[in-house]
Amino acid sequence: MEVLRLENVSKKYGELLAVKDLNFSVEEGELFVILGPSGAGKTTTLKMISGIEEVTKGEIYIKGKLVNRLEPKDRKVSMVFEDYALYPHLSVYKNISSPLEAQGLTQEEIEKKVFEIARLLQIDGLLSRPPALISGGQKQRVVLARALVKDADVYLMDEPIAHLDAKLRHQMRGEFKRFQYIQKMTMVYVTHDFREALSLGNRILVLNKGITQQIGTPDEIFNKPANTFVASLVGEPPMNLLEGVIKKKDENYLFQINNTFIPLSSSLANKIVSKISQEKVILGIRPFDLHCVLGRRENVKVPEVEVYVTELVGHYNIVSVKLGNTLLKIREDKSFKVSIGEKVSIDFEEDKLHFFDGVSGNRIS
Amino acid sequence: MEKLVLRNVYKFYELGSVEAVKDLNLTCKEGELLALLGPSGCGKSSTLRMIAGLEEITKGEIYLDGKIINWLPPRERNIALAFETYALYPHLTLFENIAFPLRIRGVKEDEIKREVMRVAEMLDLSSVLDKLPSEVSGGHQQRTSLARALIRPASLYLLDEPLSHLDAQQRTELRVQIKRIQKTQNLTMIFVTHDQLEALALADRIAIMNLGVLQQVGTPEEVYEYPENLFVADFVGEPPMNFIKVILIRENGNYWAKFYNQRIKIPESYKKSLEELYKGEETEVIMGIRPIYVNICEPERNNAISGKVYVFENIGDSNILTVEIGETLIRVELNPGYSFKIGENVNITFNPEKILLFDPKTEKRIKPQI
Repeated sequence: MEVLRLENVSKKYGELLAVKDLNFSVEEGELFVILGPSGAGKTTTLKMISGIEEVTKGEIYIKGKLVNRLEPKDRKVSMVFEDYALYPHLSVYKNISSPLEAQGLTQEEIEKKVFEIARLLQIDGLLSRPPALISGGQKQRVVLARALVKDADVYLMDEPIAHLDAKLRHQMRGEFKRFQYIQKMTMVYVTHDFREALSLGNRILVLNKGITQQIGTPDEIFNKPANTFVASLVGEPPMNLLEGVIKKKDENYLFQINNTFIPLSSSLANKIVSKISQEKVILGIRPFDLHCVLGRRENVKVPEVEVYVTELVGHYNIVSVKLGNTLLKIREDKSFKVSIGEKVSIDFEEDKLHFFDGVSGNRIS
Repeated sequence: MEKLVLRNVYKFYELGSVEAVKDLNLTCKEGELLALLGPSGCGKSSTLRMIAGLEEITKGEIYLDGKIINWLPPRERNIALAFETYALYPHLTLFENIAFPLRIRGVKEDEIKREVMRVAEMLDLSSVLDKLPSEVSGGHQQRTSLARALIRPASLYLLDEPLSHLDAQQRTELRVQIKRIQKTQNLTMIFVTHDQLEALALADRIAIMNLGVLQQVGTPEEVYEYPENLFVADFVGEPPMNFIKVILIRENGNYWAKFYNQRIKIPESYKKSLEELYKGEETEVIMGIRPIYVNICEPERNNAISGKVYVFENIGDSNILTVEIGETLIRVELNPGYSFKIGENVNITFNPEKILLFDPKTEKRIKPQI
């Protein structure tokens, strides 16, 4: 069942168009993620759903009912903001339970709910303290608890774990996913962190400068990015994007990047060429789809290139080389040892390549 | 050759207060990129500021190129600095900001121009040199601050969180540039960071600090694979290392770690160290294993430990599976391509060569002895 629907929603602040023609719907029990860099319009969208911001154009429906004109308190939404506010004179327990008391639950029911959510968020040891005596990360979790404990049709989450340190964020991400899955809450979750988006989302909307770039499952976003913006937003290191042209030399096709040539099969090259309006093409490949071997090799895609820099990142060695003027990153196992200036050869499977239009940046499928 | 030596260095901000830095002994070799890594309040920035001369050393000595520099004012130390807050002159163009250290040294105009162009080229600033700081992005400002530090020859370059204000993409780009410049020009560099990935990616060696105390100095490989103690093991690596409390079992002179109904054989090389630690049947140790060294397997497999899927996360370039075994949660890092449902049965094994053991009392790693 559909719980939330946005139809052609736009938001203007004076002349500035913050969000343009947004269209999406969220099913009951779905965790819908809005992913984008700062200034994308993510928070503005949440605020319009909650009613804190007016909609300039378009309609918002919650459970089939148009809510454009409804006050925030009449919408049955629960929202968590990035910048938190707690009642300083109340204990952590009271801060969490206050929305429940307004709902007229019994003390027993309230207690059960508060303890359950506090355990999940690992603040059950702090319930008797005042907010002044807990850390920033703990405060953020209290705010989150207060929003999650409330009964609502849609939960709106604005970067709820962004301020936590890396370790705790990692842990909370998993806990959050499990909690939402078990409780089957309907959620719109805003983040700039692609890992959070991929991990948590049933579907993801990628937003940039107020404009929808793609809506899809995590698998679609990662494996079939709709354009170069999406391709470079997800993955660490992100997808390599190389600008060039497809050339035919004798009977062989080549992808030319400045003075570097990469062979392409004629079947693939023909397919791409038939779909482009002009010469320039962007070739994309993920760092873990590239393989590198020490020294020169024949019959590989790039027989010889100099190592520009290497970085050991945890379990992986990220090797950078220069193709044309672009750095190409290759993710190798950390047992692959190589130094700056050494020669390596690079190979990949052709089916791992992505192609994008050189002008629009849109995916060529 | 040793470039910088810190000998028994202390810093207190007030008499009798907690030491911000406590008995620090550290050296940085010529041509080395050394990272000072730790959480906020660990003393890494105080250390950097003492080296720079921006803060007094309470006790101990700092030597640069073999000479004690404790009492030298900052400008006489031949040290170049780049700070987290860019501190650029707002009324000067990026060109003039970068040129500043050369101008005050009376370098000739044509040489200034040549040098600014050279560093700007390295840091991709050539196209924005005529702009004011307010007209460019944070990324450009941070690059400019770095260019200003790199433009003059110095014995030592100090970088304080040089990548902190950048978005993820700019950060990985600039990281590559810094490493490339440092290596190709053979500069001696110390940088401060709280980001363990940054330290692993950039540094030749990493000095990890906590609460003013040096925890370990080692290559990225050493701190990742052989952390000296629980703090380092927990601080370095993402997803974080799994820590499991286990009971030691001793039989016929061999040791096993008991974890629920499973016994995990501990390699022979630990025998000697465990002899010293073993206090009878209830002896506890902490087993540490990185998620990448845990694998899923068939239930029939020898040493298989069975559990239930707690949560499964596909984050694109890797899959993270959290398995619930009794009260313990264990993270497994897998290559992309898996799929699991919450509650599903699953079996895991540990790569026995990658198991680390820690003494729960001292929190130090128990080392094998040959």
